[in-house]
Amino acid sequence: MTLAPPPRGDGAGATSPAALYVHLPFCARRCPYCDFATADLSAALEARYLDALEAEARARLPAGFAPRTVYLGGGTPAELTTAGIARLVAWLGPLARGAAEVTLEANPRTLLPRKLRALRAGLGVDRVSLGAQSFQPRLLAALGRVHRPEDVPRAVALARAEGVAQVSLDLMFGAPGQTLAEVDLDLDAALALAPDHLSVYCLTWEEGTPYALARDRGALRPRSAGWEARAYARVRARLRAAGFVHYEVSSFARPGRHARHNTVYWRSLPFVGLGNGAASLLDGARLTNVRDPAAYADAVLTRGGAAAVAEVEVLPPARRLREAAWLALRTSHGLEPARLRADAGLDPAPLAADLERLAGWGLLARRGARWVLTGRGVTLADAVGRELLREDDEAARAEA
Amino acid sequence: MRLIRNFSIIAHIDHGKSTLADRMLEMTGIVSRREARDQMLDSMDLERERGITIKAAAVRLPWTVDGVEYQLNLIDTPGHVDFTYEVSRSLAACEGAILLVDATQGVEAQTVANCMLALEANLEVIPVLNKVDLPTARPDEIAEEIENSLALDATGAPHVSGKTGEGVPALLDLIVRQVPPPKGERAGPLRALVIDSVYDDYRGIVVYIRVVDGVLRPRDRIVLMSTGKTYEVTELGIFQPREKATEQLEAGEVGYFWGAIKSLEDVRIGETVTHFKDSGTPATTPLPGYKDPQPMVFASIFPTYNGELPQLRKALEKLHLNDASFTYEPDKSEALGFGFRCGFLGLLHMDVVQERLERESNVTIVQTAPSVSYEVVKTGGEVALITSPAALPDANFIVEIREPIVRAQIVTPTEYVGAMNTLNVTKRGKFVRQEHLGQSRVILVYDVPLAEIVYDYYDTLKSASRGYATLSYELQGYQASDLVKLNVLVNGTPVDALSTICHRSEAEVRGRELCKRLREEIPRHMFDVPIQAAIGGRIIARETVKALRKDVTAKCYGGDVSRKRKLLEKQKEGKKRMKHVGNVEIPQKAFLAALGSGGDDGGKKKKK
Ligand SMILES: Nc1nc2c(ncn2[C@@H]2O[C@H](COP(=O)(O)OP(=O)(O)OP(=O)(O)O)[C@@H](O)[C@H]2O)c(=O)[nH]1
Ligand code: SF4
Ligand SMILES: [Mg+2]
Repeated sequence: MTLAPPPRGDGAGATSPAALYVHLPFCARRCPYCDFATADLSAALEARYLDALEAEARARLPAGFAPRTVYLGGGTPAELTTAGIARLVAWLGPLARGAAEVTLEANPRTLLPRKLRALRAGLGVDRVSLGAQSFQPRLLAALGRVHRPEDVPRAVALARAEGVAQVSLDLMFGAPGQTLAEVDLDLDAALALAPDHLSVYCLTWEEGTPYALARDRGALRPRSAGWEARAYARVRARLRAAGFVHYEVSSFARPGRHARHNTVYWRSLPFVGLGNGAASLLDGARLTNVRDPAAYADAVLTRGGAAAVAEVEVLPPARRLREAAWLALRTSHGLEPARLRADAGLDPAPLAADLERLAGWGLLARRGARWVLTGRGVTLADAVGRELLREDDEAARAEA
Repeated sequence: MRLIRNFSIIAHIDHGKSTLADRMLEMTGIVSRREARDQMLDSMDLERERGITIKAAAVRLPWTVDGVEYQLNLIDTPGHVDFTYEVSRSLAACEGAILLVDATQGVEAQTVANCMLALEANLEVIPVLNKVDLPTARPDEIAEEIENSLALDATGAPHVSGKTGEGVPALLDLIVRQVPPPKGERAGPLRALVIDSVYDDYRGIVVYIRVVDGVLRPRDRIVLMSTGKTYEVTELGIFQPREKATEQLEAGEVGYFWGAIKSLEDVRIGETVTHFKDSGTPATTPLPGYKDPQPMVFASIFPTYNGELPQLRKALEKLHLNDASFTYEPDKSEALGFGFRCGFLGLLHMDVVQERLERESNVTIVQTAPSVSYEVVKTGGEVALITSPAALPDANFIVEIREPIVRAQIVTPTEYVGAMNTLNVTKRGKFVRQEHLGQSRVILVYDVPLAEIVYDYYDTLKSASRGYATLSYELQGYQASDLVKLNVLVNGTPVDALSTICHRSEAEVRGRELCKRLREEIPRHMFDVPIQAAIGGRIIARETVKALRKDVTAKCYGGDVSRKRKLLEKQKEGKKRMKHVGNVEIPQKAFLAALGSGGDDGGKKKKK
C-alpha cells in the first residue's frame, strides 16, 4: 500500500501522515523479557536489511513526503555499523532533516560518540531515548541487560555534549524480587541526571519470552498486582513532585518536552512505519509488516517494497471509534470529542453510556469537554479498555 | 428356548463388569482379537472417556457345552448408584445374574444393593470372584464376606480374571448349567418387554426388547399395550455386539426393532409390546413392567446467551430422546432469564447430561447448583412439590416443609465406624442398624436427608475413611424438617439462581461457606463487589471481592496497538461466558458454589 492520496471514505485519515517510524531490529544481545521484532547483529543481514528498507521507502512513501517527526526504533538503531549508518543516511537524511523531532533509541553502553555524531549530522537526531531500565547492578543482571549503571550518566553526558536537545530515559519496575526501596533508588539516580523525559514501564510478561517460560516453570516469580500498583503509585507521585507531567500511562515529561512522535499514535493520527514488524495507520487501515527481519528483507528484495506489508486490518468505524477512545484515554489529554472528530473523523456519541458507567465506577472524570482517567482509572486502563472495546455481545452474535 | 440363557453382570463400580464382558465376547468368538477394544460394550464417548458404564448394553453370545450350542444373552450394567434403575430393568429381562465381586476389594455398598435387586426379581444369582490375577486378591476371605452379608453360597464361587481370561470359559459353562432357561410360551400370543430405546435421525426410535412369549417378525403390526398405539415393524435383530438384522425374535430372546416411531413418549420403558390383531393374536394381560425412574436432584440450565434458548431447547429434546430418565420443564430466573429446570437421577447423571448437552449442541450453558425436591404444606392446607429454592413460597404461607430421606448403606472397614458415626451426626443421619460383613468390615445403615448427600456427604465419607467406605442409597420418603431459604445478594442485588434451602441449624455455616466460595469464583471487578447471604431480611454472612489493583499495559506504541487491542478484545470475549447480573460478571462455576465440595460422583469425574 502506498501513500497515494487515499480514496475519500468516511473522512477517516483524511490528513496525510506526519510521522515516520523506521525500525532497525539489531541488538547486541537479546534481553530475556523482550518480544520485539529484533535480530542478532550480523553485517551480512544488516546490509540486506538496509537495502530492503530503502526499497520499501521508495515504494511506499509518496514523492514530497515531509514527516514532522521521525523515530528510529528497534532493536538498537544506534548499534548500526558505520557503513550501515552511511547507507541509511543516504536516503533517509533528506526526509529526516526537515523534521521537527528526530528520536534515536540507544543503549547506554553501546552509544558511541562517532556513531552519534554521524547520525546527528546525517539525520538531525535531536532526541535520544536511552534504555537505562535500572541503576541496580543486580536488577540489570536479572533483566539480562548488557550495560552497567555507570554507562547511563556517561551516555547522557555524551548526548548533551553532542548537542542533543532532549534526553529521555527508560526505566523499568516490577522485575522479580525488586523492592520499593529499589524503585526509589532508581528514581533518585534517574532524576539526578535531569532528563527531559522519562518512560517508566512496568515489566510486561510477554508470552513466549524466556522470562514468561521461566515464570511458567516456577523459576521466576512476578511481583503481585498489589505490589505493582504500589510501585506505580510511587513512581507517579515522585515524578510529579519532581516537576514532570504524567501525560501517558508510562510517559513523564518536563513541561513542553513530551514525545511528539508518540502522541501521533495515541491520537490515532496517520503514521507510516518502515522495516520488519513496523505498523502504519493509513486511511483508517492498520498495516503490519512482515515480522521476521530476514523474511522481511527477502520479501521486499524479491517481490518489491509493497511486499513489506503482511497484514491489512480495516476496522469498521464503530470499532475504530472504540479503539481511538481507548488510546486517547491512556493520555492525560484524554478523550476530546471535538478532537476525535477532527483527527480521525469519528463521532464519539455512541460511547456516551459506556463512559458514564465507567465514570460511575470512579474510573473516568469529565474535565470540561474532555473525558480523562482518574488516578485509579489509569491503574486500570486495560480494564477500562476492555469495557470500551466490548462489542455489543448479543447484537454481535445475532449478526453472526 | 431350552437353549437360551439370559443373564446380567452386576457389581459395585469398577469391579470389572465391562472387562469381563470383553473376555466373553472374545471367547465366544463374536469379536476377533483384532476388533477388540477395552470395555467394548461402553460405546458412548463419555463412557469411554470416563471409564464407566452409564447405559446397560446387551449382546448375544453363542456357547457350546457338551456338543450343544446355547444362546447366551448378556447384559452389562452400570455400577454407579445413579444408574441403579438401569440395573433393575436389565434384571427384568433375565433369569440369572452374575454378581461380580472384586477379590481385592470385597463386598461393597453397590454389591449389596444390586444383589438385593436381583434376589427381589427372583433371579438365580451366581457370585463370582474377579481380578484373581492380582497378588492382593483374597478370594477365600471375600467368599466368606459374601456368605455373611448376602446369604449366598459362595464356597464354590468361580475365580476369574477379566484381565487374563482365567476362569471365564468355566464361568460360561456354569451359566449354561445354573441359569434357568426362559419360561415363556413360544406358541402363545406375543408379549415383549421394552427394556430400553435409543433414537437416531434415520430410523427414529429403536426399541430394545426382551421377548417373553410368542414370535416377532419384520412387517408385523404391533400394539403398545398401555397406549394402544400401533406400528409396523420395519426391521428387527440382535446385538452382536453391533445391531444385526434377523428374520425373527422369539420367546426368551433379547433384541431390537424399529418402525417409524417418532416420539419417545410413545414407547415407555417397561411397556409391553404385542401383536395387532391382523398380525397375530393380541395378548390380554401386559407384563408387570416397572416404574419410571424418579429424578432425585434438580438444577436449572440457562443458555449463557439468552438468544440461544431455542438451540438449548432443541438440544434438550434431542438428548431426552436417548435418555428418558432426565426431565425438563421451562424455568425463569430474574438473574439469568429463561431456561429449564431439569431433574436427574443423581449428580453423576447431572454431570453427564450437562456434558452431552454442551458437546452435542455447542450451546454454552450456565447451570445452577443442584437441589432436591421438597413437599411444602401451605397455610391453605394444600401440598406443593417444589423442585427449586426459587419456587419456595414466602415463609408466611408455609406450615411445613418436608424433605426427601434416603436409606443409606455404608460398607466400611471397622476402624472407620467411629468416623462414619460422626459424619452422620453432622449430616443429620439417623442410625438404623449395623451388620458385620466379616472379620474387619461392617455394613452401616442410616436414614439421611438426600439434600446432605447432594451437598458433600459423599466426599466427606470418602475422606473420613481414606477412600475405603462405599455408599449406596435409595429413596425412603419425605419427612418434615426445620428448613430455611438462604438468599444470596451480589452487589446488593438478590440472585435467585444462587439461593439454596438448608436446615436452620446449618444456615450460618452454609451462608459463610457460600459467600467465601463466591468470593473465590467471582473475578475482581473495577469496583468492590459485596456478597451477602441472608435469611429473610437478615444478613448472616458477608464477603467482598476487592476491586482490581492494577490492570494496565505499560507500552502501547504504533506497532502495539493492533496486538493489544486484539488481546483486550479476546480477554473480553473470554468474559462472555460469564453471566451479567447488573454490572457484575459471574462465571458459570460460581452458580455451583452452593454445591458442597463436589458431591457424590462416585469418584469417577476425573477418571480417564
Ligand atoms: N487386574 C485386573 N484388573 C481388572 C480386571 N477386571 C477389570 N479390571 C480393571 O478394573 C477397572 C474397572 O473395570 P471395568 O470393567 O470398567 O469395571 P466396571 O465394573 O464395568 O465399572 P462400571 O461400569 O463403572 O461400574 C479397569 O481399569 C479394568 O482394567 C481383572 O480381572 N484384573
Ligand atoms: S535491547 Fe531492547 S529491543 Fe533489544 S532485546 Fe533488549 S529490550 Fe529488546
Ligand atoms: Mg462397566
